[in-house]
Amino acid sequence: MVDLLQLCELPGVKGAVRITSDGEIQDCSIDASPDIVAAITTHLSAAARRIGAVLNFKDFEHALLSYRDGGNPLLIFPHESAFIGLVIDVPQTLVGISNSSQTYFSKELIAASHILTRIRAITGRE
Amino acid sequence: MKMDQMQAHLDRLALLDGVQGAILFDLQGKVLLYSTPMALSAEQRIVLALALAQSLTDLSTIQTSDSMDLDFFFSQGRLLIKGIPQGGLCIVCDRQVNNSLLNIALEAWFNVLQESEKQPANEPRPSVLNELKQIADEILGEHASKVISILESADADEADLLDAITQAEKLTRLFIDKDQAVRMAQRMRDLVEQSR
Repeated sequence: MVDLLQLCELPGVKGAVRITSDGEIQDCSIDASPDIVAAITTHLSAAARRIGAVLNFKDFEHALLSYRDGGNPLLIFPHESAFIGLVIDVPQTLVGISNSSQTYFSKELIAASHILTRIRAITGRE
Repeated sequence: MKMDQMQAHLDRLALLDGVQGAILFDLQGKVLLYSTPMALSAEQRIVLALALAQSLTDLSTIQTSDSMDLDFFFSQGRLLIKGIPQGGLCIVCDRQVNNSLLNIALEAWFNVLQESEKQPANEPRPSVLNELKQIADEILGEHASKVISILESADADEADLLDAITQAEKLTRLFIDKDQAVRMAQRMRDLVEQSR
């Protein structure tokens, strides 16, 4: 099982929480508002299961929640029998990307993509 | 007019390579507009809209923000949800969709949305046609296409819409099913009456 502290050391990760599929917090490494992050992680993992079933999209890989009015994005992915939620700090180097667009979250997507690549290296996820 | 423009932009968005469909829904889970050139059935649209409306409502309660975006990745597809005031826009697409093209199409769509929000509140609701199409879709499923084309050929005024509903009822009664025809026509007439 991956160590949350190891995930928190990745560039761009501010905190991490691991929950069971029932929403019980197994492990947490978040300074501010861990309950909120856990609640969102629980909620999105359940939503992902519903969506995947409706659309026959098969396995849930990850989800990204971002806020247009500021606030740290949240990256959620399944790991073994649990779900992990990572609070992301979008690097300043990416802030200029797609800054004029109010319609989508390119810089958050790029940051999440970088983090996922590193997580795959740690966990061996495909 | 603005709803027509929004529909046109939604259609354009849904025609992008890799996009399977787009749905605009309100926070009650009602499908307001949709464009699904490839894949989504009426049932899928309805279930999705309900589930996503519930998610956006719950998330805005947890996080007290209504301007959020969600991006779900699955092994065989991807779902984007853009939260908007009182609802959301959902885009069902392939994993390989071109993000830049999607951004451009979304930008155009949201410009129309912002314009429409500036409209006076007492303008007539041009979404009646879409709601009529949705009723046909719900009741007739795969047999709805002919009825939808009858509805689309009608002018926006009430008399023309009622004529189109009568035609659609006759067609359904003759070629599909009498009970479905009665049920569909009754719901459509009620809708037209409510939208006065």
